[in-house]
Amino acid sequence: MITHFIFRDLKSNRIYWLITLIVTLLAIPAVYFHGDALLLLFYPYFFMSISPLAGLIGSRWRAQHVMSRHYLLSLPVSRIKLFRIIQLRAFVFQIPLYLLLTYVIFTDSECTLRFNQLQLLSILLGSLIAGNWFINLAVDNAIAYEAIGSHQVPVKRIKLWIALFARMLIEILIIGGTVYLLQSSGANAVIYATLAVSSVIAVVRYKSAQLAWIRS
Amino acid sequence: MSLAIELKSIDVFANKDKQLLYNLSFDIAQGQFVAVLGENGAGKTSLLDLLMGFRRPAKGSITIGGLNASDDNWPQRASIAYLSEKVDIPGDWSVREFLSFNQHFFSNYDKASEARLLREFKVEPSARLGGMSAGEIRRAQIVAGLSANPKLIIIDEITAVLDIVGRRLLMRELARINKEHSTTVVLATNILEDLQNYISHILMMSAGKSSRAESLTEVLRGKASHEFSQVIADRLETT
Repeated sequence: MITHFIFRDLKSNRIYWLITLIVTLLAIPAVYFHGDALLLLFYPYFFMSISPLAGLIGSRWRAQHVMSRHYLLSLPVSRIKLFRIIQLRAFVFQIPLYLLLTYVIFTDSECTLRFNQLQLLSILLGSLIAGNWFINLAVDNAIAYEAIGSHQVPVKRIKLWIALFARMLIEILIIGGTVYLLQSSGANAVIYATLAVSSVIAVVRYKSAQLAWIRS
Repeated sequence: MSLAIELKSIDVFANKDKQLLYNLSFDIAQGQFVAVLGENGAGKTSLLDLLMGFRRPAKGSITIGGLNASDDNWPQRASIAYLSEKVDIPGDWSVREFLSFNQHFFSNYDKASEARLLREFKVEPSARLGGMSAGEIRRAQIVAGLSANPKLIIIDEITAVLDIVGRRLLMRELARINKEHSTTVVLATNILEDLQNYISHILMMSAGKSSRAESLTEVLRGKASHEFSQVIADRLETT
C-alpha cells in the first residue's frame, strides 16, 4: 500500500526530484572552497520537503492539479492507516534534508565539534522530531485555514485566526527554544530534557492533525 | 450478495449552530435502486456523506451490510463504489494512470469490465484528465467505480454534468448491474428525466428529514409513469 502511494508520488513529483539533484550536483564543488558550503542546500531541501504537502493530504476545494480529499477518504483504507501513510509520504520528501543534517552533524564541522557522538545522535533525533512536528503543523494549519474560511461571520473568522496564530506562536517558541538549547548546550541533561519536551509537542500535534484530517 | 443500509435516529450537525439531518431513520434493502430526491439544501449530499463516513452522526446508528459504518476499520468500504463531483484526480494523470492507481485498492476489480466500460463510455485511456471536460472526467470515474464490482453504488449528483447520452449510458449500466447482481444503488439527483424507468424506490428528503424509501408504485399512486416528474415536483412543493 505505502509503496503504491510512494511510487505514484515519485512519478508525480519527478520535476522536484530532478531540480533537487541538479542543485545538489551544482553545490558539491563549493565544498572545496568552504567546508560548510553544503549548508546552503538547506533552503532548496526545505522547500522540497514542504511543496508537495497540499497534494498529500488532498484538497477540500476543487483543484485541477491535486487529488481531492473526498477521493482519498473514499478509498477502502482505514483512515488512521491512511494518515500514517501520509506521514511516510511526507517523510520521503524530507529525506534530502535529513541526509544533509546527518552529513553536517557527523562531519567535523565547526558547529558540531564540541559534541560527543551520543549528543550528536540526540541532535539528529531532535531534528527528526522537529521535522515530523513541522509536517503535522502544516497539515493541521491547512485544515484550520479551510475551517476558518468556511465561517461566514468576519468577527468569528478574525477570532479564530488570532487563536490559531497564538497557538502556533507558542509552539514555535517552544520548538525554537529546543533547537537553540540543543545547539548551544553541551550538557546531556539539557539535551535530553528538550528532546522529551519536543517529543511530547510533536505527538500532541500528530494526534491533533490526524483528528482534523479525518474529520475534515 | 449486495449491501443493505439501515439508519436509526440519526442526527448530523455541520457545527454547533447548524443541524443538517434530523432524527433520520430508514432502511434500504439489498438490491433496491433508490433515488434520493429533494430540493436544494434538503440534505441529500449530507446523507451520502454520512453513508461514506465523511460525516459522523451526533446521535443514532448507521449500518451497511450489518456492520457499523462509522468504524474506521469497516471492511465493507471495499465493496462500495462512490461516484461524486467531489472526487478530483490530478490533471496531469492520464485515465490509464488513474485506473491503475484506483484498481490497487479494490480486490474485486475486473479488467474485462474496465475494457468494456471504456469502450461504452467512449473514454480514451491515454487522455490526460486535465485536458478533459467535467463530463468526460466523470465518465472516467464511472469506469473506475463500476469496474470494481461493487455491492453498493453511491452516486452524488454526477448526472448533472453528464450529457444526455452519458446520462443514459450510466442509468442503463446501473440498471443492468442492479438487475443482474442485485447491487444496491443509492442515487442522489435533481434530474428526473427517465428516472422512473430505472429506479425501484424513492427517498424523499425535506429540510434534513425523511421517513422511508417508498416504492415507485407507492409514489405514483395510480398515476401514469410519464407523469413521474409532475408527481415528484408536486410532492416536493407540498412537503
